[in-house]
Amino acid sequence: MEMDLELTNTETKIKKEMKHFMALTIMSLAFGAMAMAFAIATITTNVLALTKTISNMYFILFSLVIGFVVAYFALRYVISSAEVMSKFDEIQEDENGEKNLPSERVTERIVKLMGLYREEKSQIKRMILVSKIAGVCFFANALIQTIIVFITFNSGMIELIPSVGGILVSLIMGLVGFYLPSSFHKYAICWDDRLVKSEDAEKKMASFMEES
Amino acid sequence: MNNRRTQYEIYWEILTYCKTPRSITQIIQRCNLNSKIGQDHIDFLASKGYLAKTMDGTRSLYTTTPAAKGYVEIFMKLYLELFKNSPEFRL
Repeated sequence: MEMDLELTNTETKIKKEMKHFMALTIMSLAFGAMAMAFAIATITTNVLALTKTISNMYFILFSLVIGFVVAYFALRYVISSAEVMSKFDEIQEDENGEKNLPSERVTERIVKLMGLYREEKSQIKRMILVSKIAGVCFFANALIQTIIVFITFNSGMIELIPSVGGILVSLIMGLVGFYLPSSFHKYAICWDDRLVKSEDAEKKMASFMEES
Repeated sequence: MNNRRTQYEIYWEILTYCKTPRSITQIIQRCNLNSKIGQDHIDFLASKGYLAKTMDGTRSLYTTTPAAKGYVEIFMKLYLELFKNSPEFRL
């Protein structure tokens, strides 16, 4: 009875973690897509501005460089997120919404999740880094846009609204860019801990096999 | 799913799958192994007495023996504990 309860608790914990991780990968995919869209919009706007005016040229060029950097990293990020998500989805599909799984099935799920983490560990670490870089780029972009608004402001409120909107979007994306890595980092801490413990478990299994 | 598994995880998968008699091809496909590594693992488990080989015509079939019960149980116990006693990931 106690064993059944423990098993149900572990099963619930796994399901909850899987849901949270799925939500995290969906968020990161959305973030990557938005970052890419935003970067492309920045590139387009600045290229057009460059053809019309030569004032603020250095700011425009700087924004262009940031746009290209973000677009590149966003693309890499979207690809990484999609890869992790697809592999994770494979594990989730096996579940079929069944409840009270036998211990064998719960163990099978743990083995698959451990394998997924071992395989994707470096990818997740890269995603943490890329997301931070994108976050920094968004904050830099917000700063540049703010400076441009201050320089070119001609007291027209209507002209100001889209610029402020753009700055706000950059700030929000910058914040998300830092929130996502911290969540992935939390995930990595949990799984690194499990991997360390699994090495001890392996030693126990090795000695069990030697004795038998 | 071709992810990185330890040899103990592969042993457990083979032993769990072979509760009913299975051919080498079935084991290799189900456990996602290449034939060389699959054969090595099967030979090792057979040498430990965890797998018994029977013949079905010309086909060799492998079945998990009662001797493997201890390994399968200790593996499940350790892996379930591993998850139970670790911090939980939350967003």
